[in-house]
Order: sequence, then structure tokens, then C-alpha cells
Amino acid sequence: MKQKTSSNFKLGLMVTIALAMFVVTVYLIGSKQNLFGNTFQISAVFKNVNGLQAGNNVRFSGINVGTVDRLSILSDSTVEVFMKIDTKVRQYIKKDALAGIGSDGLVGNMLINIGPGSGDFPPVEHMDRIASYRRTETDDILSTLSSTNENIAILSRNLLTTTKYINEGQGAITALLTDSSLVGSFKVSLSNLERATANSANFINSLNEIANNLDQKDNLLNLIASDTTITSEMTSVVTRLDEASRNLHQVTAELKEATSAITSEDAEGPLNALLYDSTITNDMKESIENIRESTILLNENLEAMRDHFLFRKYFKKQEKQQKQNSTKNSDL
Amino acid sequence: MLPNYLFEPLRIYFIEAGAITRFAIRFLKEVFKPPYEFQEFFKQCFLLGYKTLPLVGVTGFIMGLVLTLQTRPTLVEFGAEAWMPSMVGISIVREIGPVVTALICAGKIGSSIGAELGSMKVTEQIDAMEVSGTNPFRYLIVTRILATTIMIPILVILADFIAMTGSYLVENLKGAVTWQLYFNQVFAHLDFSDILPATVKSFFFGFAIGLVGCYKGYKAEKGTAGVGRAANSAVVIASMILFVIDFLAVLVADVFYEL
Repeated sequence: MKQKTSSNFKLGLMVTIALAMFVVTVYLIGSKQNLFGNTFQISAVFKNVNGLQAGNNVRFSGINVGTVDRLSILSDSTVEVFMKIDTKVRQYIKKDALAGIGSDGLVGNMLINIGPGSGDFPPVEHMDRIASYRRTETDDILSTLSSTNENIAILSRNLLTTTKYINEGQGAITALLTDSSLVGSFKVSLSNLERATANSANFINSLNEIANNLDQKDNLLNLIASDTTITSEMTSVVTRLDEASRNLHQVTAELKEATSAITSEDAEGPLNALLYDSTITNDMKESIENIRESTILLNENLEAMRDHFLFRKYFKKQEKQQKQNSTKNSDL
Repeated sequence: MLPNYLFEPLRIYFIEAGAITRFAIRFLKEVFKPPYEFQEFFKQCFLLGYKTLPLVGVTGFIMGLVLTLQTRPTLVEFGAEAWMPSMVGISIVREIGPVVTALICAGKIGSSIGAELGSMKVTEQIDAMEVSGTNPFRYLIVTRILATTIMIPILVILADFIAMTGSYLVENLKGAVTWQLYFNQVFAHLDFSDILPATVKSFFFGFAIGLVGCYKGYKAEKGTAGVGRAANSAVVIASMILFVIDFLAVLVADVFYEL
């Protein structure tokens, strides 16, 4: 009897443990699928669900909060996905939340990611429909890769052509690679460039020195730059210079006018006649000749007058006066 | 017409299949008829289930260890060792646990039932029971088949858990994975489509092991040599039927769950 009781106890223990394990397993799987907790339902509409199935996970900010309950085709281009979500997270999912279809890793199961919206909206209600967004699909990535490949093909073709030209000895690059004289020229150019760089450095040093000198207080430019009274004086000088230049300009204009009046062929002034009328010139020459001859004759008459008795006394008196004046000057 | 070397085995096969089917139908008729032999049923549960647990436990533990040790390097190569718990969990629960446990039970339980009932048959104990007014089929066969049908799924559940413990041990030693993380990973990827078909087919495994063992023992003939043949053929046929049931179970599960 004792042995029977013992065997029954052992058997009962084994069966109980196994059943407990089975129940725990069923509970864990069931709770994962929200079979035992309080849930509410929301939905989202997608154009393409990418193989999403009932039972796939729903994540909110990366945490599993529910499962896909069912899928329903609304039209030829839209599918509505109904989700069972744990009631505990309802307060965090706002009405402007966005649902997107993703996958758990690169080759994992499809799932729905619910992300927070941008505005301050109230929490979702049972049977609400939230907005959805389209994820970047593999086809999009492949399309981009395809265009990139085409570009690479074009680039490689161009590179091939360029390489062909180089190998055939055409173009400047080939010359650069094969012509040894270019290397010499290049070296000379580099040497010149080096010298120019050194000169530039010296020039900059000199400029620095000048700048330093300008910074000294007794320098004129520094004075101009630093003394505020000079500015008004300079302004005054410049104003006067401006006025003088205006006057000069006016004088020049008048002179120009006068000159043009003199030099014009139509002018009838005496200067114009003097400058351009040859007959007057001849007349003047003739007159001057007559004056000179008259002067000679007049001198002869005056010499004759000095010896005349009527005027002799006067001239002697004048000579005497001159002699006295010269004596006085020599005494002084 | 078929040649004789093909015809004779086929004929024997169809006769055996028909006899086993009749035996199964007889079991189904007797199982619901009172009086119920509860004492004998629990005794058989203890002998066939509890006594087999150490063997199943050690086998399951080694199974989990070996599976993880052999799979881990490949997954590490792909940087996917994080998938190890879920992969091992699904493998054990879906297929390896039920099939290996059932095969071990077919070896131990099938042969023991075949040998026991065969020796009772050749020593005319079963005939004596009939004479004494006891229904030998209900007392010997129904209780044993029921015991295996109930106990094999329980052994499978325990073997699954022990195998996952072995797998966890390797993961913990090689990858420093905690107990909680390991089983979180396992249950994160387990689904009812993994548990339910495996459990249901375990019942059929148990039923097949008990049925074949009992049939072979109950129909044993030709003295003590027949006992050995009964034990041997019980193991061979039960093992073969296990694989057939496994195949059918996968087909049916695929229809319901789209595995």
C-alpha cells in the first residue's frame, strides 16, 4: 500500500509539473497575443501591407503593445489594418499618431510601428482610425541603386575614353606624363614660384614695417588718422581748393572764349587783324620804318637845337644840376 | 500481376495493417465501456511514464546541448547568435522534442509492453484471465494504450523544458545569456501554431506506441521466441508509424496554421 501511494505521488508530481509548464507556456504565448488582457482596437489604412498578417506585432515607440487583429481590403488600392492594443498604453497614443509598416530586423517578421504625432492631441479612442505613412521599401532602394549604377557606368566609360587618349599619346595629360622637357619647365616654374613666394613674404614684411611706422604717434598719416581737429581744417582747405578750382575753371573758360574770339576768322577786332591781316603787318612795318627815320631826323634837329642860342642856356643848366646830384651820391 | 517477392510482403503488410486497425477499433469500443480499470491505468502511467522520465530527461538535456553546440558556430559566423534561443526553442517544441521523445518511448515502452504481453500470451495468462471472467483486453490493453496516450505528451513537455535548459546552459557558458533573457527570447518567437500541433501529435505518438506494443504482445505466438519477435517488431513498427504520423501532422498543421 505504501509503495502504491509513493508511486501515485511521484506520478502526480510529474503530471502536475508538466501541466503547469504547458499552462505557463500557453499563458505566455497568449499574453503576447493580448488574449488575456484588456485591449482596445484602432485601425490604419495602407496602400500596401507588404505581407503583414494577423498576429504580427504592433510596436509603439519600439515597445510591443499589441498585435494585428485582422486585415480588410477597402478598395483596389487601400487595405485597412485593425490592431488590438493594450489598454494601458492608450493614454500615450494620441489621435495624430502615425502608423507605418516595418520589419523586425533585415529578415524578420513584418510589424506595425506606431510613432507619436507632432501636435498636442487627445488620446485615441476605441475604433479610431489613425494616419499612416509609407516606409522606404526595398524597391525604392534598388531603384536608387540602379540609377547610381548607371552613373557609375557612364563615369567608367568616360574614364575609359580618357585612358585611351592618354595611352595613345594625345592631349596635354599625356604630354605631362611623357615629355621630359615639361618636367624641367615644371621644375623651373616651381623654382620661380618659390622665389615669388619668398619675395611675397619679404613684401609682406615690408608692408608690416610700414604699417608699424604708421602706427607711431609723430607720423603724419597717424596724425591725420588720430587728430580730429585736422579733419575740419582739411575740409576747409579742400573747400577752398574746390572754390579756387571753380574760379580757375571760369577763368579758363573766359580765356578760351576770348582766344576763340581773337582766333576766329570772322572776328573783326584789332588783335585778330594784327594776327591774321598781312596788309596791316606790312603797314605797321612801314610805319615803324617811318618812325625810325623820323626819330633820326628828330635827333638831328634836337642836336641842332642844343647849339642854338635860344636853348643853349637851358641845356647847360641841366648838366650842372646832374653833376651836383652825382657828387652828392658819391659822398653818401 | 506482381512477382512473388513483392506480392508476399505486400500481402503481409496489408494483413498487418488491417489487423492493427481492427485492434484500434476494438480499443475505441472498449475504452468508453465501464468498468474502468483506474488502478491498473495509474499503475501503467507510473511504470510507462514516470519510469521513463530519467531516460527522456537525460536524452532531452543532451539533445539541447548538442543542438546548441552544433548550431551556434554557424549563427555566430553570421552575427545572429541572438536568434539562438528562439531557433532552438522552435526546433525543440515543434519537432525534435516530440519525435525524439516518442522514439525513445517507442524503444523502451513499446518493447516492454510487447515483451510483457507476449510472455503473458505465450504462458497463457491472458487465456486464464478470460476464463476467470476478467476482460483481458480492457484490463491489459486499454489501460496501457491510455497510459501511453496520456503520458507521452507529458513526457514531451518535460523533455522540451529539459532540452531548453541544456541549450540555455551552453548559451550561458558561451554567450553569457541570462535565464530570463533566454526564455524571453524563446517565448517571444513561440506561437500557438508551434505548441498545439506538437501537443496534439504527441497524443497520437503515445497512442501509436501503446497500440503497436499491445497488438504485437497480444498477438504473440510460437513460444518464447515469439516474445522476442513481438518486442522487436513492436519497436520497429511503432518507430515507422511515428514518422508517418509526424508527416501527416505537419501536413494538417500546415493547412490550419500556414507554417
